[in-house]
Amino acid sequence: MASANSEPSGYEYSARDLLVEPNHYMYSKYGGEKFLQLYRKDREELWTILLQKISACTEKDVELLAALKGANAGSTTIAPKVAPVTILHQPKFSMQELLDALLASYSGPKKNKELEGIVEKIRRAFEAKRLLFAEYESGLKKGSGQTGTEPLYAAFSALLGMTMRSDKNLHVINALLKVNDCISSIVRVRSNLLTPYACGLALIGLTAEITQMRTLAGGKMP
Amino acid sequence: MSVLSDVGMLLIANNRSRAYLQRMLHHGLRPSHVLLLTNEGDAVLPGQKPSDVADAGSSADVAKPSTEFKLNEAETLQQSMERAGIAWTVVASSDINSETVISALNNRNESTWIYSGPGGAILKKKLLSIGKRFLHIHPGLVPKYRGSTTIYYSLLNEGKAGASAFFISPEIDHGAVIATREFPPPQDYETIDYLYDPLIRSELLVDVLLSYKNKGSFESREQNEPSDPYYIIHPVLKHVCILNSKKK
Repeated sequence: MASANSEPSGYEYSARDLLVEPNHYMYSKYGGEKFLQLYRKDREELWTILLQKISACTEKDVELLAALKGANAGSTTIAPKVAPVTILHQPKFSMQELLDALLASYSGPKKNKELEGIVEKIRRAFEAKRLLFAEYESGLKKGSGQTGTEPLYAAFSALLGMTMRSDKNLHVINALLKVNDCISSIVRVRSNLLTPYACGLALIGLTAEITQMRTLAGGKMP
Repeated sequence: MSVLSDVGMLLIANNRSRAYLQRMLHHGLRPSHVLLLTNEGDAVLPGQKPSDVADAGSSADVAKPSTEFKLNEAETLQQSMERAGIAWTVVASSDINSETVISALNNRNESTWIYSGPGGAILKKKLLSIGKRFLHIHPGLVPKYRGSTTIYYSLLNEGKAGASAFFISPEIDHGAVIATREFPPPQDYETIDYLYDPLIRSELLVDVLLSYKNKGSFESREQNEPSDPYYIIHPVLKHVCILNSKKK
């Protein structure tokens, strides 16, 4: 079983602090099946660590996470104080506030194209820099502020996981793999600064990644 | 040998540039002039190790080209230009948007430039507004496959690849399309980055140039269809693409 501060897994894409020095992923070298084994080990260890930590979740945390996972979708009222689209169009807004509003919206019974469109915009902003910033200008035009805000990645991973279609969605899985590399890096290099609730969110994203990779690669995946 | 009098080439030393030039020469096509960017620091990328390239010599026909063309990876760009009598100028910059490059282009009369610059570089508005057209071969069928590493995405989605020829515009991969072409998948997926990609691009380039030679102009159409661009592929997806091909 992996400890809370795990040894390096040998998977190079989570081995350093990605919130300081993001991966560029350009011309990545081919490592054969051995590489996929290292990836698989990285995600298995991450899974174990996140699972250990969510045992400290409060009753309210569990209720919120269950609503997000769809187990009790619509049964919990955590409507956002401000609608995500309103936040998105403020001159300057907090990414954490936007992600929280999106999560609250996703916990309810009604999902719509507008919410998915906002998640897509965040995905593109993340892919461009492989980072999330604390603040953004209206419409996600430009990020600013610190990048070392760990809970953002957990919330975004959960949102990507919830927008994943059952069929092959290469746009989303590509971003989810990169976001989860960041989470693995946070856990390994930053001594896991995620709260139990954030770990629960990260598990939603990680579950979606594993499910999708099994579809794409069959028995080679964890 | 036909000299394309109004067409120059803007190249940096890599396999794509070698494939472009060698395949053009193979088909009797010669650019009017070549501007050769210096390749500093990033000449050797993880996917393009010289040893890998040398080992892959026997796979040089992976794109199943319609002619007998074989890429000679041992021949440098300078050697190709010398054997064909092509005039060239070395531009002391690897930054495609630098004043040095812009000045070198402004000193030339050719209006169309075949572009094969540093990987991942984006041509900025200043360069795109100097009155020259930049002919780019993108390794994906637009508008569906805009963005980065689209060969892998296309192979994962559809089991085939494609390339598109267009003039570069400020919005990435939205330029006026001259031609598109589908290609069968590579025989060896491990060679995609440094061999299959340059070979399919160079094959479409020659299609376009032969048509230009016959008609005297490039015929293009605007592409306005929206699509979600692809971002650089995660190494895990790249491995799945390669390893899945070995199971077939």
